[in-house]
This record gives sequence, structure tokens and C-alpha cells, in this order.
Amino acid sequence: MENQLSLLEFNQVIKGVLQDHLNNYYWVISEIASLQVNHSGHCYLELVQKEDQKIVAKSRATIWSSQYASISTEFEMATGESLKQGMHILSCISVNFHEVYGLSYNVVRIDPRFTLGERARNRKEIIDRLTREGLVDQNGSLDFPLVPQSVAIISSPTAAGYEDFLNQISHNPYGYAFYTKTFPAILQGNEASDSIISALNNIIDEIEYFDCVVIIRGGGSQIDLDCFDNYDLAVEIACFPIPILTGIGHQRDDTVADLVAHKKLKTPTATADFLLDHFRSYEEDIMDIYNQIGDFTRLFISKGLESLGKYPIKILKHSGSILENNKRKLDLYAEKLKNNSEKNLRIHQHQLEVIAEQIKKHDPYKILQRGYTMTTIDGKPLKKGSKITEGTVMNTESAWFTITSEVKTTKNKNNE
Amino acid sequence: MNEEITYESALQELQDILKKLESGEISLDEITENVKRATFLLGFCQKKLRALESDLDQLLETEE
Repeated sequence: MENQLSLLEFNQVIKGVLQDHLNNYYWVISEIASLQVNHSGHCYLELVQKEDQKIVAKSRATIWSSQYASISTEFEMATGESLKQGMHILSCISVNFHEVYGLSYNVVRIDPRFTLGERARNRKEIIDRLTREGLVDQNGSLDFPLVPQSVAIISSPTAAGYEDFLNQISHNPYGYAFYTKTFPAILQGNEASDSIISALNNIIDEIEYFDCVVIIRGGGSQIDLDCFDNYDLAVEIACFPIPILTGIGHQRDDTVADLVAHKKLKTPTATADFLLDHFRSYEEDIMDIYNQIGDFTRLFISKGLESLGKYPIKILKHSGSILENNKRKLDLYAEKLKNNSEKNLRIHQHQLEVIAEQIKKHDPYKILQRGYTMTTIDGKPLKKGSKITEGTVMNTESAWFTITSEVKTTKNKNNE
Repeated sequence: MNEEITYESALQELQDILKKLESGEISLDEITENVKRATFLLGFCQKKLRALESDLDQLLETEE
């Protein structure tokens, strides 16, 4: 039994061999199977490598609190994500062997660029698949309601962004009324996708009451967005029957959820403003129409009054001219009447003159002038049948004398 | 005038009267009646437009 060693000696041999043969550190790719930070701030990791979902390597590792704060902050700054289970990382590991504590892996650095690349690849795969399936623009192609008044909110009611959103829409300066209903969900971490999908399913049950859905998350938080790069959630959003707005408060590139949503807004406040803008724009349109109606009516009135203004002149002109025409006709009639009367008068006068002339021709005195006489008895002309006896006194008129005579004898003539 | 008149019907009747006057196809006996009617219709239309204008002013003022 030679070369017997104490345990300490044995461990020192191992420590020596390891120190002699190992580099100071190695860059190792692995997946975080679990991660715990204890009350002292030390972070304990279980790192694994999987092949076909089967673990082919597994080791514990530690990030001491002195380094964990700076490593995790740097990682979050670069990736927008905190270190967590399921994440693939490239870590710089130094191997230590302690005589009392045995072998340990200490993570001294983590390169966030590797994780970013992993995430980008994962994200690209999901987007490619959604594109192939024609889902990327599906929700975006829905008509956004003119007045998005009834809003289903998916959020964590304790989140600051949720309060921001409600304040913004309920205290809007225009006094627009919104009807909201909140469907609580977890919006970060591994359970977020399922939680949001479940909230969407709850909305479906009362879909007829809502104009749109908003998914909002605490303002300012820049981490834990991986849950929004989830295929199942993306499909739910894309196929949702009413528009979905995302306002999950981040500055990095769009998440897949943002990409398939109807519209991505940067923050919950911006989401509220987007809704208010729709109200405002609708109200402006209505006011425009209202003013146009006013303008058209004024134009109608002024044209109407202008055209009515011409009527008195026209009526006066035309009725005056009719009166004038009739007056002229009357004058003409009067003239004709006068002319015709005078003509008639002259004709009659002429006739009278002719008659007078004829009468004149037959005047008995004219005959007497020719030597004839006219005899009367008792003023009556001497005619056949006049009684004449001896002594009858007769008056005889000649042109020159009036003779009174007494009858001596008479003798009847036989001529008729 | 108990009949129901609208602005449109009044304007139409006014135009008809003017047309009759213009064409001179109207007897002298009818002129007075027609001119009287036209004057009434004219007043009616003007009153209606002015009332509309005043309503409009009031409405728009309220809104503003």
C-alpha cells in the first residue's frame, strides 16, 4: 500500500493537474436549464446541451454576485432580455477545483451577441413561416373602425402602462367617451404567450361588444420581449376577427406580435393617442360636412334671393307691356271707330243731299214757275170727286198770283 | 291662402306666371290676379329664405 494520499493531497493533485492542463477560461455554448439568484445575489445556473430534445451534457455553474450585477445588466442592455431559463448563451467559464468544495464552473462573462443572433434566427424562422402562411398582414388588412369606442384591453392591471393608457383615454381633452373592459394577462416571462392567447379567447366570447383590442404593457420596461416572438401568439393575433393594436413599450425592433398586429404603437400612451386621433379625425370630418352644409345653404339662400330679386322687375315689365299692348289696341279701336263713324256720317249726309236734291226737283213751286197753277177748295187740292157747284169759292195759286174765284159753271171730264 | 305651399312649389308657380306674362298668353282680366299671386309667392319665398338664413346663423352660432 504505497503512495497513500490524504484526501487533501489527492484533491491537491487533481487541482494541480487541472491547473496544468486547462486554460484560464473557455467560451462555452449552452442552454440555461435553470437559473436562481439567492439572497446574497449569487446566481446559480444549470447549463445543458440538448440533442433531439435529449440532454447530452449538464453542468452547474455560478456567477458570483460581484459579477452577476454587471453581467446581467450588460446582457439586458444589449438584448432587451434578462437571463432566463431556455435561453441559449455563450459564456466565458473558468474551471476551479477547490479542495473542500470540489469542481465548479464560474461564469465570468456572457456574450450577448450570441443570444441576439439566436433570437434573431428564431424570430426570422417564425416570420418566414407566418409569411408563407399568409398571416403577416391578415389582421392589418381589417378595416379599422371609424370610431373605436369599445376597447378590449389585454394588460396586467398593476402595470404602470395600463394606468397611463386609461388616464389618457378617460381624461382626453375632447371629452370622448370610451367603453373599456380589461382582460388581465401576464405580459412577460415564459407564461406570457399562453396568458395572452387565453385573454384573446375570452374576448372572442363577447366579440360583438368590441371595436378593437389593445395589448399594452408597462411603459419603460425594455426587457422580456421574447414572449412576443411566439408563433402561436402571432397566429392568434393575425387571425383575430377585429383589429389588434400593440403598445408594449419598447424601442427595439418590432416583435413578431407587433408585426402581425393591425398597428404597432410604441407605448400604451401612444396607443391611447392613436384611438383618440381616430375620434378626432372622425369629428373633424363631421365638422367639415357640417360646415359644408352651412356653406351650401348660404349659397342656396343668396342665389335664391338674387334670383327672386329679378321677379318684380320682370313681372312689372311684362305685365306693363301687356297693359300697354291692350291700351294700344284700344286706342286703335277708338281711332277706327272714329274714322268709320265720320265716314258713315258723310255717306248719310250725301244720301240726304241727293234726296234733298230730288225733293227739290219735285217742289210744286218750281212747277208753278213754269206757268202751272194749283187750285184748292177750302185748303184742299182740287181732285176728282171734289164737289164743285156754282158759287163754290176756289183759291188758285200761281207763281206770281193768288187768285180767289167763284165757280160759274162746271163740266165733268170723262177722262179718268 | 290655406293651401300647403312649399318653397319649391311656390318658385315653380312663380316661374309659370312669369312665363305666361312673358309669352303674353294671358288675358287682361287675369293679369291683376296673376300679379297679385306672383307678389304673394315672391314674398313667401323671400320670407322662407330669410327665415332659413336666420335659423342657420343661430344654429352655427350655437355650435361655435
